[in-house]
Amino acid sequence: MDPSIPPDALLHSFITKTLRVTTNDTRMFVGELKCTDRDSNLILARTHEYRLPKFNPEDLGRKVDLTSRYLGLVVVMGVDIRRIEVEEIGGGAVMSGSSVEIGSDGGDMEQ
Amino acid sequence: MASNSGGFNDAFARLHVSEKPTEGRQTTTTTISSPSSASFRDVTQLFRQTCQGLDVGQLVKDPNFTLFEAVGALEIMDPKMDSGLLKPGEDDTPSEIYQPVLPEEIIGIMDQLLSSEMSWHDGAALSQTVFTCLYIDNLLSLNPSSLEEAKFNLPPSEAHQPGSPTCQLLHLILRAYCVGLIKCCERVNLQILAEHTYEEEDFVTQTYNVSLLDFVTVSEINKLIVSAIEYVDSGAAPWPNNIKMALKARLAFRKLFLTELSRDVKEMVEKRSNWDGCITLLSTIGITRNLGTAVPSVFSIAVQRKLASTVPPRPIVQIPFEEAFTIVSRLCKDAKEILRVLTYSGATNLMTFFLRFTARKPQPSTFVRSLLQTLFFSNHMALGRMQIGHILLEDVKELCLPADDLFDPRNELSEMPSDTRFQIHQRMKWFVERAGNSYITLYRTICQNRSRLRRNLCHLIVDWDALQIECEEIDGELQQLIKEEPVLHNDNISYAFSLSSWVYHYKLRQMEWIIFLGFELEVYLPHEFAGMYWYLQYFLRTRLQHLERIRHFVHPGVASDSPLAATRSKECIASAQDVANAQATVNFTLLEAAALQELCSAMIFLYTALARLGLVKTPPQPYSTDSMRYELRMKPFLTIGCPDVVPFEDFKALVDNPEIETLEMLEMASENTKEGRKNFDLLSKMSATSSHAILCEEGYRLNLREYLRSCIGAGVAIVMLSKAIKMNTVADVEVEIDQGSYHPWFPVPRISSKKRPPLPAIPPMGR
Repeated sequence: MDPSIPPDALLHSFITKTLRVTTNDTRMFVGELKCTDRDSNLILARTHEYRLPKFNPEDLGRKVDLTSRYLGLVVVMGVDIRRIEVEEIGGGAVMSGSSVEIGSDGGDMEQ
Repeated sequence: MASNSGGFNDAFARLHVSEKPTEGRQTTTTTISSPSSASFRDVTQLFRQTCQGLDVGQLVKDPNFTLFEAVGALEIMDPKMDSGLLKPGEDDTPSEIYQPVLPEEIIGIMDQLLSSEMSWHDGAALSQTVFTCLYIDNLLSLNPSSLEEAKFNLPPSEAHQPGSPTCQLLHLILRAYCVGLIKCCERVNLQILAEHTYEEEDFVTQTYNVSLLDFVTVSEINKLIVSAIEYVDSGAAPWPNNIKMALKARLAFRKLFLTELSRDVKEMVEKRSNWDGCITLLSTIGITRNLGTAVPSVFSIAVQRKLASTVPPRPIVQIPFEEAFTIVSRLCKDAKEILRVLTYSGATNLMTFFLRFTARKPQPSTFVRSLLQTLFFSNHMALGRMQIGHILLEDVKELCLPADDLFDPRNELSEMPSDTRFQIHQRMKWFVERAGNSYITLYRTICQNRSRLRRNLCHLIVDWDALQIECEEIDGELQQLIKEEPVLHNDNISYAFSLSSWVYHYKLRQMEWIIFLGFELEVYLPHEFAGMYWYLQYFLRTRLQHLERIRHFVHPGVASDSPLAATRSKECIASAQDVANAQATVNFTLLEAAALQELCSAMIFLYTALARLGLVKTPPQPYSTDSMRYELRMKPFLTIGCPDVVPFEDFKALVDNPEIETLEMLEMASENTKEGRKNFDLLSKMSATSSHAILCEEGYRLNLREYLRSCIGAGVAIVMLSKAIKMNTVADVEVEIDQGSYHPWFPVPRISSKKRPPLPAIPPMGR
């Protein structure tokens, strides 16, 4: 992380971006970031909940659609968050210049 | 950057986030935030570390987003807010639905479903009621678009071999019942959405994006139910006759109920309704109720996890069967009863019906009140076949009998702007349009729940007040056009002002209703009763004077010297019968208002006396005063031109009457109750026709009896109180205000002597 960028400026670049937040109970929430604070509590707008099915998708040998439902505006507490991902449109990084390593499991549309 | 990898993340990575969910109930077209071209980048570490750089309390937010909005956000992982949260140890895989094998269980599930359905009718959400049934969920979760697709998707079971009676029980009989019930819910929802009701207040129309078999026709479903009935009837069904009867009654009821719920106004006008059939079948359902075995395991709150809902989870509501049975029986009876309005028998009768029907306790269901609105006015037609202007003008004529020339059909034919007839027609057309809107709104408002009725009346009177002023102007112009002869009234030369008189009368009635409903809804505290009854008495007295004035102008020969007399068409001339009718209406209305006024006067004196004797106490009002409270109560009336709001000081003196002795006051109250009783007795003796209650005689008579009961109750209280004063035993008197056993508009104080606590036989010692 580039120490020269003040933390709020960096975080501002995430505001209104679509985040995919995974909670400790294995659900995912995809919504637009509206607000965050020191504890990484997140307020997401127009959020959809995605639930992981119990079976292993590879066993089925086909693409599996996650069941989702619309929830609207939600608050996710920082302590409940296991993972935060940001949507990249056309592969552009959110903060150009910041050295962010893209996780090897970042491409999740392979299947 | 270390990603918190693990089997869990990998699992997600292999999953495809559907752009447009194709499976299940997500038929929303909301933009799912992950277009297929987008990819996600893990920023967990970066995000968390950066956040920690923030100060305590510092927020980073979208400038357009306010924290006020955040109040409405659902808190994920909070058990009270998050309907998707799994309890510790709870499994997400849907547990297998119990597949019933006995017909008794099917009967039980059907009755539980009826309870759920009626809980919905009674105000709970679908997510708390019908949708919690796993069979309904199972049927709808594949989002069926045709009847063939609307079937249970259950794992194969030993006991349910295809074609076997157990299989038919489930996959034909229960399925047909469920499909019918879902469609019933759809029809009810459509009806309620079509009219004005308050969402979440009376009824929850939210379906969580679940389609309630919108694309399946009623006749298809009826056919399915018929085939289920035929199966039960056939020899293939190996069940005893009473079981068969119970199953058949439930299926047949569902079919008939669905048919009735699907009727349009035209069919109802043509008298094709058959609610009686529903009522008969319901009695069979009631008799066979004990044959069913409840299967509670087929209802689960877990269904809410799948529903698209922006509100926190809500508990299951399933009222007991007896209660549900009462609700559905009442619904059918009420739905049948409101069809009476289609037999139009005059505007005043119609209004009486609306007032009496909606005042019923408990109030008719939201569905029925919504249907009543549709019957009254839909598709620009009143009662399915009339012009609203016709009913409106009849209402005016029934009370005020304006000059014949105003209603001459020849007026409409004139096209010359300078012609008197043309000018009259223009003004009458304006009146029908302007007052017609207010008139329709009034009827619709009466169909709302009682609290809303009171609240909305406070707005309506402002409109009626404006309408009155506008009509006065039109009346003035009309009286010149028809060269109306002035009449001597109360030593003044005066004109009829028929249209504005009619508006003023309705406005006064609405003002009375606002205060009366305050009593019914228990808005007022006992120490305010005297003052509020004083206001009622004031409004009623104003209305009585106004009615006297109207009576003065309702007489034969109105406008006989009109310039239009020569060319007048015969049909517009008021017959002797019309005149007599209007006079009778005015006299009846006078008597009714006088009776109410007497009773109100008695109540003023009675409650003032109670306050003087310290038997009705003013509670401590640390942040309020009597005058502030008065201002609050008078708020709806402050903008009304006539009658005026009385200044607080005058009001206090008028209510308290400090110059009258308490005993004398009670004597006056006693006189008032006697007068009131006499008037109510006279009213009770009048026929339904002359009381304008032919559509609702029973309800009307019941209401009169309640007035009488309040009259008698007040009389008893007055006697008791006078006796206590004379015998100097006021200190031993106890007062309890009875809201329940009297007319809801006239709660009566029950006066009794304090029971001295009896000496305990064994002193409660040593315990």
